[in-house]
Amino acid sequence: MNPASGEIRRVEGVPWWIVVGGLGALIAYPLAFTMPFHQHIVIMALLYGTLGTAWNILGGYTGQVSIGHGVYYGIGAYTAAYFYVNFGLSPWVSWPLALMIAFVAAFVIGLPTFRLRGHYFVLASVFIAEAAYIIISNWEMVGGAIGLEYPIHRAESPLDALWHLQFHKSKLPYYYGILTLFVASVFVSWRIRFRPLGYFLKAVSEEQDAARSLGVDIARYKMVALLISVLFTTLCGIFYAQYVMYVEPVSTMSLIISLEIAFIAIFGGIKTLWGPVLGAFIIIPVTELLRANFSGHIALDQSALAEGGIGAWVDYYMAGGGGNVDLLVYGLLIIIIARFQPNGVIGFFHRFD
Amino acid sequence: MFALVAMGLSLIYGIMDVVNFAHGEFLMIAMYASFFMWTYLGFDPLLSSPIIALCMFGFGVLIYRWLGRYLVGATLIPQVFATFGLMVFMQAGANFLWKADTRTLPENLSSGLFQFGGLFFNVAELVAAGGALATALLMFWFINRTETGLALQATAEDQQAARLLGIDTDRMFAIAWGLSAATVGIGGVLLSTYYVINPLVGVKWVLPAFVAVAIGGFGSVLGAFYGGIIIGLIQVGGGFFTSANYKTLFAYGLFLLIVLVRPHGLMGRK
Amino acid sequence: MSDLLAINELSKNFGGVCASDRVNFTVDKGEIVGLIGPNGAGKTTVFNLISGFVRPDGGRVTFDDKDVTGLRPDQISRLGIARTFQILKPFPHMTVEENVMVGALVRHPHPAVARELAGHCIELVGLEHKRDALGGELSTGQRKRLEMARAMATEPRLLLLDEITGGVDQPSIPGLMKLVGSLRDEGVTLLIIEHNMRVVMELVDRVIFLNLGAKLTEGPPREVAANPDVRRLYLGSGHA
Repeated sequence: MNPASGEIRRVEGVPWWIVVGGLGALIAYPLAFTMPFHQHIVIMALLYGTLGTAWNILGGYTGQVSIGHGVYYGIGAYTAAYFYVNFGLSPWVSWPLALMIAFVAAFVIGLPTFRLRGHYFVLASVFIAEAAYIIISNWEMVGGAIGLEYPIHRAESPLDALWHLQFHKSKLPYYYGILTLFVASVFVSWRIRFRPLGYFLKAVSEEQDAARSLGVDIARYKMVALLISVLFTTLCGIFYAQYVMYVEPVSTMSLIISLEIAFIAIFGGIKTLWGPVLGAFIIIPVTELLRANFSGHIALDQSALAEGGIGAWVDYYMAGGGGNVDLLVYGLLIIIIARFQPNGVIGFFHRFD
Repeated sequence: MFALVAMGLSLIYGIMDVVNFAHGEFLMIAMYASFFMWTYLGFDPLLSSPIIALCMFGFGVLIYRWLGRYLVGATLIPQVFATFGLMVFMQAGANFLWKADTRTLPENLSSGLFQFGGLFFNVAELVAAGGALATALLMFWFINRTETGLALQATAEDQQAARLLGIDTDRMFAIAWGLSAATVGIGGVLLSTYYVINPLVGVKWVLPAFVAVAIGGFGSVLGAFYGGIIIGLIQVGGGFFTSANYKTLFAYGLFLLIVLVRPHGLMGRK
Repeated sequence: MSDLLAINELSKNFGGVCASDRVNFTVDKGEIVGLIGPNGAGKTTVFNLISGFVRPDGGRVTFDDKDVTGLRPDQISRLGIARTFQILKPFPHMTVEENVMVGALVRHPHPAVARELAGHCIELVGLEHKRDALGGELSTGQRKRLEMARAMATEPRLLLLDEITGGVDQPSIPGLMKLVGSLRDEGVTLLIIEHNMRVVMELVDRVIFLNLGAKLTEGPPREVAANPDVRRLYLGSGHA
């Protein structure tokens, strides 16, 4: 955290040329890999990289472990979808509204729960997330359990497409959109540590009483951290809604989503700048590939089974069985990381520091 | 029923200071076990419950040996996420192996309706309630009357002191995980006689059980028992006044209220 | 009045036990006042009440003619009362410099300014050679110095020091005493809890003796030490 006098040679342990090179590679990637699925994987990695980075500002830097970020993600996705589907309002118009709703929610949730410590805070965030999920799944105005589907808009011009944020088959605009958001979140997460805020958050995460005795208003800085975190999470939610053009409770507000967001940061390594980025770029390609190749849901071959062929079972499970192979691996990865390397994958690179 | 789930949860927390988020998944696999025992071996749930309880005990010990042990005294994040990871893994595993389909146990010994004074009761629910009560009593007897139970309590009170007294705390932790899994295992079997079985059933039951634990005070087994009964009543009562979809909201709201106002539970010790 | 701090009828109950029983005292500008008494006399409770970590049930704390009773710890710190903890609380994964900067940044939001001030405070307590060590790596004595540096970085007018010589090896004590003297020279008024009577005798202008949450007596150190009640309660119990 100690910047060498003036010139920055390393960004949190990583030489600057790697950072610049990595960014260059990300910019060039979709031009080299034009297959939609290849682009999709990196889009998802960037999306989760942003989410993980945002989560890390609260869960890592500030030490407030929230398993409820799906609430803000969902608010972003649902607000964008609701206004677009019902009123044809572009997300360019509705985003301030989404942010406002998310910030209000953050205040209402954060003010009382920030007083809780340890497990209690974690549990409270889980319950709030579950409650939000139940409400949204039963709320007819936003489509209940079915959700909201975007009408397809045939753009007349690029400008028109940009206004509606719908680009049909082209993934490039989405790609560069989420790349921008990703870079912005990483930049904020990096610079924050040189600001008084960064010092205060770290102090709060390590020893709350000592921080208070030094004049740090811990409730205020926790809230600031939450709001920064919510800002990016909500924007990601809006992006997601525009990208998949379909919003429903399970993929935006469920407990699994809240967990996935936190997992990204924890897997890579919390309290570090690059941890969540690393986490996203490892976990997301793995799970996306699994999801694509083992989607499962082929029927078990009953006739082969009747003939006593164990091969039918093998075929069935090789194709993904009842599905969820990605989550299976997800859970396994998390258990392994928590068990063997609690500092996250970045813990293996600690000699860089 | 909630009481049983909550007691197991409270046991691990009280003794090890670890919240087991995968507790509901223990319940789920016990339900599947009960289902398969019936479909493939023809064992009635009432018959298979001791077997499953024993297996679940072993399973709990195994999980402790491989995972839980490393969480003693670990920081919050590995603690929380190891069991969350387990939760996701077991849930996805069930989905992978047995699909998301909902199953129900066919007719069994406890099926049928029972009429008493003009009111109809589901026999299975009555049997489950009786079984839960019996298990709870057994549990209290074990914790308060046997040597191992008292050693468990000592470990919960103060690990270091317990170690000085010659108690093998590592073994105690393993027993706590085993017992916790066994109680929830019995709970799962009883539940399977009248409730649907699917990979997500664990979450559905365990989250309210957390509320029960909070009511009773984290770590207090007796408190969890009472808490479970209160939650059961609230769920029924809440479902009475609003649609069934919202009934769990009452429980969640109650949890938040309790942890904010009385962080140590209604009957918890400091 | 030149009282920097005035405590009026300050009371606190913990579950029926009187941790603080209508305590009255004042601290003048520039003084070093010692708060002594047997274990469980409520010294740390008085610190917690003054610094806002515990809300009093009754009574008032006045600092610089302002009523500060019931304010939050961070508000009280910003008004100019700093404290150290008996059970040391360094930020374990932050370097010594970063630890101290947290205190400095509250008043000086520019990191460069804060770093300079932190550097000054680190030199004051003699931890220059440990500037880049992590808070968690320090010895007990060094942690005490770190806590003092951190507290000084908030630029306090009143500093509450809880047990600076407790748990420290004998040879380090004179150095710590000299340090407390130099803090006074920086213009800070000091209220200290201290068990070591030799330290109290040499360092302190005035002593307040607490027993069972209530003030038993106060006065110059020698006078208090000569008080028969104090001798019976304190010196007699093996602390001489």
